[in-house]
Amino acid sequence: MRKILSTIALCAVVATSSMAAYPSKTIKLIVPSKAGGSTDTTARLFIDTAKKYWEDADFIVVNKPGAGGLIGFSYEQRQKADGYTIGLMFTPQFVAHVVSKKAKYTLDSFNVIGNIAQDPGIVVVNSASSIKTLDDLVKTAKAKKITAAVNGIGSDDFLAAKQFEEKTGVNFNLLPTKGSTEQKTAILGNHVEVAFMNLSQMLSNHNAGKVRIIAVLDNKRADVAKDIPTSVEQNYNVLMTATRGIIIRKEVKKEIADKISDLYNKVVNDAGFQEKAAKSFIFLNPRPGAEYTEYLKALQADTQKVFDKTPW
Amino acid sequence: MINRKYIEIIVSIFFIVLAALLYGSADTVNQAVSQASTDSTSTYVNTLAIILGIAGVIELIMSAISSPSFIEFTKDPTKFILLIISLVGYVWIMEYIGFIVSTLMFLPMTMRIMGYKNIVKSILISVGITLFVYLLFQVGFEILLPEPTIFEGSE
Amino acid sequence: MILLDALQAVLAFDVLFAIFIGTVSGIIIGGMPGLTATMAVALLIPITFSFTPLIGLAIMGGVYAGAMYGGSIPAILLSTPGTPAAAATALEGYPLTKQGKGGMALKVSVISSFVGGTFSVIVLLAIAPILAEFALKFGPPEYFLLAIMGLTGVISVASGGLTRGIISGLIGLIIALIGTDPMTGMVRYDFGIIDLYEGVSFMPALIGMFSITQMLALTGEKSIASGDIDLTTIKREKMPKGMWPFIGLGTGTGTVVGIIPGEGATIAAFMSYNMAKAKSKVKNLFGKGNPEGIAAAEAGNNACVGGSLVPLLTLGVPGNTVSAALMGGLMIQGLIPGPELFTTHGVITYGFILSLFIANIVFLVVGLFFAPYFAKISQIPTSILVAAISVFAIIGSYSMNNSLFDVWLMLIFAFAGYFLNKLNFSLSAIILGMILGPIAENGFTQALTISEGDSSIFFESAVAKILWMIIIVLLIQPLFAHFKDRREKAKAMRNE
Repeated sequence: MRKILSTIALCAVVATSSMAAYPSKTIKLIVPSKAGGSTDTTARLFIDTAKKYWEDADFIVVNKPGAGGLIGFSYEQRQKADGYTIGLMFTPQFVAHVVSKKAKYTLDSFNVIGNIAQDPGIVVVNSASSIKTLDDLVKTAKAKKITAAVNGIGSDDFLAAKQFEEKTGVNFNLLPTKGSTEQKTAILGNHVEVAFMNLSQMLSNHNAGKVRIIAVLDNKRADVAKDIPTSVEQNYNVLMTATRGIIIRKEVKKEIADKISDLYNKVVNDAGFQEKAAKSFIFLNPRPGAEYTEYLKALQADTQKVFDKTPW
Repeated sequence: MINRKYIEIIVSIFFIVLAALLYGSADTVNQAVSQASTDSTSTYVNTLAIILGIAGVIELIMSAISSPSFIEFTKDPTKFILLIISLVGYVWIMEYIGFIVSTLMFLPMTMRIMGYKNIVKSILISVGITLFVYLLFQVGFEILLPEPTIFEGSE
Repeated sequence: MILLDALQAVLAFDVLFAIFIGTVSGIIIGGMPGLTATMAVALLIPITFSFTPLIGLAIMGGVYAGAMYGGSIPAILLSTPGTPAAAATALEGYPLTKQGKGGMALKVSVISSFVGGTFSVIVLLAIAPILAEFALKFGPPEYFLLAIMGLTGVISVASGGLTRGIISGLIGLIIALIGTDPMTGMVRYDFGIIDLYEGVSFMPALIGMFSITQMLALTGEKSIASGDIDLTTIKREKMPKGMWPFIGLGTGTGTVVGIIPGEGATIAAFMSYNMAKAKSKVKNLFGKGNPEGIAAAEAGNNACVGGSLVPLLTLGVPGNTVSAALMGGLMIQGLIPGPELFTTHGVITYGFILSLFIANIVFLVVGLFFAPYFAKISQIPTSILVAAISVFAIIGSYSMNNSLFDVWLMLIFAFAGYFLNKLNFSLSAIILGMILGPIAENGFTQALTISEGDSSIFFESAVAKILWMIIIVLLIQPLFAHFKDRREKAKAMRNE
């Protein structure tokens, strides 16, 4: 009985994995976070659009959440380099794990296909707070120790807060939270004085007048929030942006990698994808592989500097 | 039948040792966060360790003075052990031969172990359950069930 | 009048159909360990984009409400909670099934779920913005106290003596320490295993200790329920008397806990269960099949549905993972949480809330109709049942994180749990410790970080003071009962 079953199974497996033209079987998109979050939505919108361009192909989202993306990134690295697994990654955690030596991969383990979206860092306070600008923040923080909520150690928020401390000489009482919901509650409920977060997480509350975003940590103002001044405008050179991009293993054959790059280009330029992303507060910022790789290298070097001063 | 008293003594000692190992294990220094943060974490962990230690000692004394009695671990040791083996075996082979084949092997085998005599019927039920889970999880909810790995070449 | 317009919109055929489909799929999702409402909503987000907003939201709301109820069905019949929130239900439901009263237990569960779910939706409809302000009062110290309040439940779920109950709770709390230290970001007690960086997953532990342990225990039995179960008898069986106070208790607790972001249905169910035991006149029946426990737990977890939507709709603060996914579903329809949702988009928002009412009615009707048929499951020979449930348990543990490591964890929890249970340690107390551990630790360390080490922060706010009072009441009650019980036992032994 068992012999028969395993023979059937063997035939089935051999049949599906035989060398047909790529893509001939289900393509997995590894999402290093939980189902239902913003990163997950990015992935699901991506494959939803990708199906339109590769009609014969089948896509499936595989959620591998945990440890600031590390579990998912490592999982992606362990998959077969046949082009049937594509990884979604997010920065700065992707490089921060390399810097903090938690990761077994390096930037060289992957072929970076491109950046999909970005989410600039912000400094946010309750709307009742007397802090209205970054200058106010520095002044207040120098007068007394204030608590700043960041989303976990080693996250983009944490790195932004550390950068801010270093550039201004203030010293926050850092409060690491689990997830941005805790940060939101802490700011809305006045449990902390300030939080370092991302634009998409607080934009609607800012627009509703519940909180005040005092700075976007970017060179230029965000298209969706023209009223919010940047850190650079306020003469603070503190920059932080979270990005989300697509990677595959370095060893994937060039023809297949080119096909995936082509798919990526089609999806990010698709009008339907752009509309859905905009509604979901996913700020698109397509950057092709080479440019994005340079960005990642620079980001890793910067992160290394912060890590060397205050390791976590 | 196993003597309850000695097992309880061993388990109590295990908890006392665990408490001892836990105590002080979270006393770390970390410059990235404030002293209050790391201090509070060690207070939390140490409190757990202390309560566990005290409770462990109480249990140890109680079981030491208790009169010996017996525990019946299972009514049917053969079935019990065979079920454990087939569960472990099922999960172990699933990693290599994937969900479908391993489930098609596990189900009739376990039914047989548990005393189901009709082989044809048990195979039909097994195919039904396997198909149901596959359709619901993989097709319906797009959850990738374990795939066979042994047949694919390593890379 | 916005509400009337909304009602009219909901009563359209296609919307009603969407609610029906959503709720029925929700019951299946909830009833199947490993499938979650969060997953379903995530899958629906890109699909519902092409629907009208109300239809999209009605499906998602139906899934959420249906799944919350659906989890209780396998919890009662097979001690296999389909969702973590149904764990407390299994404590009373499964013993009832073993006594051949599964049909009655299912009936109590569906009615309590309906009342809890409906009441919380009324609250959401009536006073959402006021309640949202209340939710924001909960800072780290209050979360810590809430966790302590939940942990007092260890005493009521423990059946094998006080010290063993406490040790069991501590095992849970210690298991919850494994993983990344939330304060320093360093990984601790991980044994070098990367899968443990995020901690021990909860669902595998729950399935292992609740479900597989029971399957192992069934090796010596012919079927779960002894005796024959007659369909017509179950159909005629009435709701047991005196359930209403417990349903009310669960509904109130669940609504309040649901509103507080980050808490959630599992905790609400256990807290309601705990309070029901404190209130009950027949405390010694708890753990042996007391429908009062089911009534409180099921009303409690379903009341979270409405509650968790309060901070979501008013502030964009999702109370749990399902509502976080629902936020994605709202946003892709251009509905940004906030005051505008109740004015500019009032028809859709109120329509969505009203659709939850209908979802509750749908699962009430479906649940009552199918209860007798479901109850027949307990008569399937164990030879088939054990094999089948093992497959569901294993795939259920796997699919939460697509991880075979989680399946191994589940088996370890099952075998260790079986052993500990034989020594009278309480598996429910371990589960309670595991759920509340992260909240307790996070609340404790965050509060002391904010206050820079000053522990008076735990006594400052009004909410904190109230919580302390509830904790004291919940502690004294069972402790008193426990010692009284022991004295009586000792007296009885002397008399012999």
